Amino acid sequence: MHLSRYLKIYPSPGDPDRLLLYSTKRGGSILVPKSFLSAIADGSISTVDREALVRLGLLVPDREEERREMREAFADLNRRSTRFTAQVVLNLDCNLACTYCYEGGMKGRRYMSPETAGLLAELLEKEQSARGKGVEIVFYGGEPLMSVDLITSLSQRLGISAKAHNTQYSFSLVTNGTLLTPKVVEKLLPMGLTGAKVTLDGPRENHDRYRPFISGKGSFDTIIGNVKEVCDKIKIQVGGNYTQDNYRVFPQLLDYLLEEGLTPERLALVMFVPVTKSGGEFSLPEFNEGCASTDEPWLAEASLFLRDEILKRGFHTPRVGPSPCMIESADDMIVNFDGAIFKCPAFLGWKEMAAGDLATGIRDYAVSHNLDVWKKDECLDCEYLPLCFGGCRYLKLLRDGKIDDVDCRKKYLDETLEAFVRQDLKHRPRRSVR
Amino acid sequence: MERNDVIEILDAGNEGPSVIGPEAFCCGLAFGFFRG
Repeated sequence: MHLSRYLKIYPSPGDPDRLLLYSTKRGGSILVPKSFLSAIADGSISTVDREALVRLGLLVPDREEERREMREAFADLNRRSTRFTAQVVLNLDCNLACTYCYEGGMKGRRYMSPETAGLLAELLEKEQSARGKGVEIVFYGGEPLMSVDLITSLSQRLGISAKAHNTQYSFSLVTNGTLLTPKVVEKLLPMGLTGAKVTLDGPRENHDRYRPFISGKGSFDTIIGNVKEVCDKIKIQVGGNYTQDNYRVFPQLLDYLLEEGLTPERLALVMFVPVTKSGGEFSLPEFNEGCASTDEPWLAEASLFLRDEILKRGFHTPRVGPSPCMIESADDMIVNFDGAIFKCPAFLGWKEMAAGDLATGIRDYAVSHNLDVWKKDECLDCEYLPLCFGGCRYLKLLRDGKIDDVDCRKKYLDETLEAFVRQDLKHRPRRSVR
Repeated sequence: MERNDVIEILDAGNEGPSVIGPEAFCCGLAFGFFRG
């Protein structure tokens, strides 16, 4: 038996005789005596410990086989997939005028036509009938709730098809939250609505500066009012987009949520992410606060700080764990309002990154998206591979105009992972051995 | 927390046949490290 190549070994503060082992592959953490590593090498550990380490993915019979398994991880996952997910851009219209809008350069009264919606429904019905897959739609925009009629007609059709083929249909919304009223939620719930992600960019003053209505009026109070009324009916995820200049005020939002009774048990998730630069046809030349790399020096401090603030108030936020690019998933696609198909929402403004369209189907995108970009020795031997899988192809394209190499996360993970792992151990219930 | 002979398991992580679950995929426009 050998130690997995996908693990990190950290000191154990306050206990100099022990080490913390963290599996980047499984997300498990253990404490071992310092002498334990040599005991593994000479095969003198107990059967009980060896079996536990194998179960946790920290010991493997063959390191080369483990490397091969990692190389084929997505082929295996795609074979086992039982659900097809479509993120659908219903329109590029919006009632807000966010300063950093990722789609800002393309915004306007552009809506998905009934013909395009019909083609989308046909494609998804095939997934239900021919492949027996459950279908999930994430309605997206612009602002998806400016297309409620289309959400209704698509969902009714796919719900009927799901029943006929004994599969599941459900949908969620990525919405700015201003139109997410109890009346709308009550209407959509029986059609399969499960949740919504809304965006609150920190406390009122900051949010209203970045995410005002078109009129210039702030949108913060409208969103908070809606969330309070619907969060017990559907799962609400609160997201927020921060910049180098404003991330320090975001904890004020967390305190405000608690004061307003929006406690951790009423919110499914809270997660803040940095504003990224936009590109392609969507770019906003007047907005220069976004970042395009995890190597930006302030980002490690900001992400650790905000995650700690979220966790210490008891809000749910994702654990550290494998998080590959959705392009690797054969059963995920993005559909633009005009029927163009993409493999990642960040590519919506890049025509050359389209992976087909609803009329002609999905084309082979392996070369254009460089699917195998991370299948090289440098990555396969990297202990961070399961947390990265080559990073974000969009950021690479944005920086260099081409996806000819990985968006390496090593520097960022060297600076942050140990602290992220310690945050999870400190603030979360521990997952026990099954 | 489970105590074995020598090791102390703080968090068992995700067990199962595959290291990656379908919920793990990063969905663009973020930094691709966490997914809800």
